[in-house]
Amino acid sequence: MSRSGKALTKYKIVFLGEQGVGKTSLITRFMYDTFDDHYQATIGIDFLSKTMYLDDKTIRLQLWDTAGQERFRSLIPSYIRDSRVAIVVYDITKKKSFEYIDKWIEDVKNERGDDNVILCIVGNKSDLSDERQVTIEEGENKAKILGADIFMETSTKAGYNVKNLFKKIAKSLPEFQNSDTNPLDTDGNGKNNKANESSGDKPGIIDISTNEEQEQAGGCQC
Amino acid sequence: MDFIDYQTYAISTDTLPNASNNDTLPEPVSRLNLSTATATAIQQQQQQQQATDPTASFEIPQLFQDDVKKKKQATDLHGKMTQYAQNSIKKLDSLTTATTKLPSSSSSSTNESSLPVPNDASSSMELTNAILSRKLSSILNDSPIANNNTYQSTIQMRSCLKSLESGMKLKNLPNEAKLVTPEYVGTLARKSLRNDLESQLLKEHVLVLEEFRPIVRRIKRFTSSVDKIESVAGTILNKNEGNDHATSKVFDEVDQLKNQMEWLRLKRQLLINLKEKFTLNQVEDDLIVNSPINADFFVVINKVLKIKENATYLLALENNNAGSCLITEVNSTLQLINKKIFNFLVDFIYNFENSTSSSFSFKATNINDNDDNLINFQKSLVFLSNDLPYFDEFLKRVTSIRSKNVLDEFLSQFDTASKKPITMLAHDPIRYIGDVLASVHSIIANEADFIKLLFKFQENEEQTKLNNMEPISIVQSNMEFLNGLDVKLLNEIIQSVSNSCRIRVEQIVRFEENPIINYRITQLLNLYQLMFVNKGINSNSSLILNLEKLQDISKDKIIEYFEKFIANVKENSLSKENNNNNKPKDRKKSVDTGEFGDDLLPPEWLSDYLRELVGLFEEYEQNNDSDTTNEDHENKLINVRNMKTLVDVPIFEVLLKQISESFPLARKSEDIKISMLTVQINCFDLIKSRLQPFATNIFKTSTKIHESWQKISDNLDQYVKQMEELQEKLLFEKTGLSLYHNLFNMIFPIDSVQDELDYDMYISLLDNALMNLETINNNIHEKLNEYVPHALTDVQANLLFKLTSPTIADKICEKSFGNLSKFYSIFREILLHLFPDSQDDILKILNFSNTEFNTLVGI
Repeated sequence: MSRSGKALTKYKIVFLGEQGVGKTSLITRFMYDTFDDHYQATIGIDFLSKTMYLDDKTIRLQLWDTAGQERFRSLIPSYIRDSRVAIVVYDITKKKSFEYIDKWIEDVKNERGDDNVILCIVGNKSDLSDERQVTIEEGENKAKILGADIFMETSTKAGYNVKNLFKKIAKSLPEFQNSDTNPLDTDGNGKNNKANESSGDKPGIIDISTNEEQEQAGGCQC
Repeated sequence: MDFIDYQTYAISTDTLPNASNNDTLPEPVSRLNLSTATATAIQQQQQQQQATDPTASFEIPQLFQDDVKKKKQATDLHGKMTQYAQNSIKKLDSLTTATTKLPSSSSSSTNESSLPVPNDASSSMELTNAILSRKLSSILNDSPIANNNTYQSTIQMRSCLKSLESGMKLKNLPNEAKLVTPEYVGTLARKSLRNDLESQLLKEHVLVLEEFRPIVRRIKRFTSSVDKIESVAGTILNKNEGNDHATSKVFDEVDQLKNQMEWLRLKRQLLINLKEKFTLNQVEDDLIVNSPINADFFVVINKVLKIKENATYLLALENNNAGSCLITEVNSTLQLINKKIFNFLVDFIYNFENSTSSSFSFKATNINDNDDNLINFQKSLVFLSNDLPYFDEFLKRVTSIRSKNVLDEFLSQFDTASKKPITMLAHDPIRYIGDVLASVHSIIANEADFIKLLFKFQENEEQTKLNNMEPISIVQSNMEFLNGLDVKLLNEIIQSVSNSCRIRVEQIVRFEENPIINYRITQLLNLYQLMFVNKGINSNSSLILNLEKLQDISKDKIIEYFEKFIANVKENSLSKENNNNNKPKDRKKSVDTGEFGDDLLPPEWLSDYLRELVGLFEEYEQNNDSDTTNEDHENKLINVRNMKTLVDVPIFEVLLKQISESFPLARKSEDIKISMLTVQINCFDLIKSRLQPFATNIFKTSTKIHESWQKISDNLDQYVKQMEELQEKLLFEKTGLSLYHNLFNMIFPIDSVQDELDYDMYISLLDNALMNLETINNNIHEKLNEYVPHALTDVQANLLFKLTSPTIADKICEKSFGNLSKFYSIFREILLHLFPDSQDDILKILNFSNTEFNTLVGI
């Protein structure tokens, strides 16, 4: 009887962004596949864990949800320092939250430097297209400029692209890097290759324009 | 020679009128020419055949007993044929004796009346066929198989015919056509067929008999024994005949033995059952000793528990030795099992530890919820909960192993050799403490993950699985030691970092002086307490208590800071006073301006103090949120006691005392009084303006705290009022109106004068010597004309110049000059009213019109 079994690697993911952009709801959608209309501000820092099964591999994601309020800002750097993935979330209907991305990315870079950290920029609330203040192109450009590994627009309310996001993040982790496909090199519609070309040597920006079918089919097995 | 056709015989029984009699056989019919054949000829032929044919005495072997044969005769074809054969042989014998001549062909015509003879050959064949058909159908109908008249019998019949047909083919029998030909060839064929059939039949019979040979042999072998038994039995019976008593005794003995045997059988059965119910077999014993912990092992455990449960019933017996012995035995087995399970659990945890890496990427054993290992682990844990010493020992082991791991992990964060050590950078204590607490938070998260995986018993699935373990002990069913085990273990494990964490944080807290940073530290500590408690850490755990203590220390440091500040002020003040006492030459200056210098500004310490206090209050206002604080009012930084220390003591005790000590002659000298009031107003105005933003929040926290704020406002108002009064008094004195102001007020308050009718109130003053116009002129005119034109400048530039608040200065000016102007106006009017004949003189004495006066004093 092999009790020790195979080691299960844990990865810390920290969620950053202004207040009310949907960090907690993104985690809730991923964890429980639910959405709560009632807004409740996060107090301090919260964490949740989830085991993810993907391509015959199992990883454990530890999701650290930070509070967007100013008074909790001083806590956040301590959590960035040992995180492998930083997800910066903005609200596509609030330009201000988009502008603050630079600050968040700077915080991450200050803490982690060029260390092995995966940067993700996520534009949330894509279901509110009527109130959109930040276009996809703006988001893509910003991600390119800031050197983010993954850019994606999501809707936690509609459940759009959330699983896809985590799937892409998981595939960017070292656990999956030695496997057959590199998430940074491939994409469903090949647009990502273009992005790679345009961004020179830098690992490409993941093209978010996956069609609806892909999105629906691309759920992870968790 | 004609072949006797038995079937033809059979037909003739039906066709002939005397066929009813079985003994009377029909005449054999020659196949050669039925029409011409006569009974006599046939008989002759038969006799001839009998003489020549060696098989004439043939008898179909009797396979059956006589009685069976008799029955068969009537029923089956074989019987019938046997009967016919015997009858015909008998008949032939009798005929042989009667006549030896065969009938000639010619004589057949003489007997033609006995059988219907066709006229020509074709009709003869038809007739033959018809007869044969009828015969065949009659035979078939008579057959017992056909008589059943069921589908099965038909099938059977068909199969019989088929086998006959196939038998014929197999035996290479002559052509069927040849058999049925009436000629000699046919006769020969039929004859040879008969021979064949007979020899075949014999072979078959021999084969059947061969099968009986071993049986017969065995019977023969037993024959002698049986004979012997028979003879012995006969002897015994003969002997015992007439000896009934002995026989009955033997029978009794036999009965007793029988009963005893039955009793022993029951006893054996009972013992077997007892063995099954109260003992373990060798395989189960071996499983207990040598088997790994798996499902089979738990089956055995269940059996052991069942045995123990059953053994308790035995204790109710009169002789409870069996029960107690069995229980002792089972207990020793259970002890063995407990030890084994304990070792398994400890081993499990050690293996987990060995497979866990403390490197940057946190690792855990890959045990998912449905893992058999996990189920075995939890089952073992549930079982071990019956044995509290082992169970506690296991929990201690887990706690110590995990505690060590957790502590190592925590301390490794501070190891400068590590990749990202937690260090105090650029004197940012908040960041340092934040890092320390965040690492504890992370450890709690990891540990909670691990503990919940192994020690959290899911309500539905696991409970059901565990409940399936029969029987369940009371402890087990209550889940007394298992409910909340994960939280309990988590708390115990995390305690290991509580001291190290406290030391790290205390290093900062103890040496941090800045009240604002200290306040931020208290907030940080408070927030982490909340977050830790939310993650399952008990609020009375040492980690939380340590954080609370640190928070209190930090809070006390805030108050201490302000206390020290005030103590320093007091000390400085005292030392200055001592210096002044030692230097009498400087005393005068010191008395004149006190601690506050010539500009009568608030002391520097007050500004500094207020700056610190306001900073603290601002921080408090920003961060004080009911969501993030779990403190009650008494424990909050802003409470009555602390506010007294922070506000009341420095202002109402230290400051006022310092002012009063700085102006000891204030009561005697109006100038000094003015200076003192100026300092007081300046100080309280500063205090009020700095604390004003907190009037509606911090100072509204409680009634007593609000009283402090009210007291500050009241003091300021009081000082302003005193200043107004003093300024007014000085103005009246300097304009010479003071005497008359007092005089008039004594008669009727000037403030109460409404109109001209009130002027008459002062008529009584006409008798007063002071009210002489000349006296008035001497007292007032010159002073008034000298002072009023520069009164405003005088007051603003000299007296109120040192008031830092222009608003208050304006207010004092406005009020005092307003009163002066009002009195001047009323005084002028009253004089004009009282001295209507000397109006010109009065206008000369009080030469400023009201408007002019107001203009001059700036109203």
